Amino acid sequence: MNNITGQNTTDRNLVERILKGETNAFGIIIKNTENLVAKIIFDMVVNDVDRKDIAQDVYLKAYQKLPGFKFQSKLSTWIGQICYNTCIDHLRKKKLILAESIFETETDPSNDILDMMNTAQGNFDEPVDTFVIGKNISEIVKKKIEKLPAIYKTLISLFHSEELSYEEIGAITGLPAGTVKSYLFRARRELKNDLLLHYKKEDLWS
Amino acid sequence: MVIKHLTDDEVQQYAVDKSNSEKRIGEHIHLCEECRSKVKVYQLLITEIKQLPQPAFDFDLSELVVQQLPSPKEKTSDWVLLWLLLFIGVGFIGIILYYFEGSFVYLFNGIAAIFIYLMIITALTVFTGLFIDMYKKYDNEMKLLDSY
Repeated sequence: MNNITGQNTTDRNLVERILKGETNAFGIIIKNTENLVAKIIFDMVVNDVDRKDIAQDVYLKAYQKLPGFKFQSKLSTWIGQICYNTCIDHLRKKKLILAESIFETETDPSNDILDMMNTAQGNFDEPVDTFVIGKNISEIVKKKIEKLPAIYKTLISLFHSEELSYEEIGAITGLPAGTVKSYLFRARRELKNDLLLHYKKEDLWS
Repeated sequence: MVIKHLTDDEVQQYAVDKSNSEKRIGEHIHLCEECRSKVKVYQLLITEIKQLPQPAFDFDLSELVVQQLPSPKEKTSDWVLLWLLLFIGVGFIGIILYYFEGSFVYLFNGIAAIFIYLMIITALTVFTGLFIDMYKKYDNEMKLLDSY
């Protein structure tokens, strides 16, 4: 399997080889897109056994639908789309709600945490990070991301880790690019607010 | 002096993609300590997100999937079966015509042409309907099997 790199082989050639019956070429596609699929699945599904089943299911579906793939998007985007939809189906079957409530219950925008902190510091000169001594920023960010609804977690991951464009994320999730952008703004704001609950802003880069 | 700070979206946009932000945003951030500190928080947050460990499967997904794929032979077997059925069908009709040719001519002798056309059209319609129905059932069953 190691000799299969696929780095110099285009998606189109790979698809043609697979359609001619060379099933091993599909392994190259899996290797090339596995990271993206893992990101989506890990963000959307919690259970390890389910993750394994879904990962296999995604690629079996992709293989089955491959003759119908018309290269209107990148192959990785198309597989990402299958992956996202498979995860959504799984969550629906398990009756897990894709809660958007975290943002629906959002407080008044004027009630910004930064303002609260500034007020607190100005009036009481009280450090705000006393209860999180020992925790580092990475841990807080990681934990907060884990608490985000699946959809926002996925968007954050696809945009910042996978570095996909709004349009590509939109193609995967079926959301308009504007909505993707708007959700990302909300998710980042939540993360920032949470970070500032634990740290004084000047401590973050000192 | 009233200072109108940037909105959170503008701050984020600058932190995410400075080069695509409006010129006035850059100018404001250059002058405003408050907004600059907000940008720094977002930039730090983004850096932290990018540094988070990447998820990975603890099994060989490629191997697991490839061994489940149907072999190319299985795919071509559908066509072999179709050609075989077609060959048998044509052969069967050929044998009937060979042995009962005279009877067929006699069978349709006394019937007006319009009735023959009517019969042919009816038969074709019924067969087409049956074929479509059969194909739909087959397709549904295949989809059902694929969903497992």
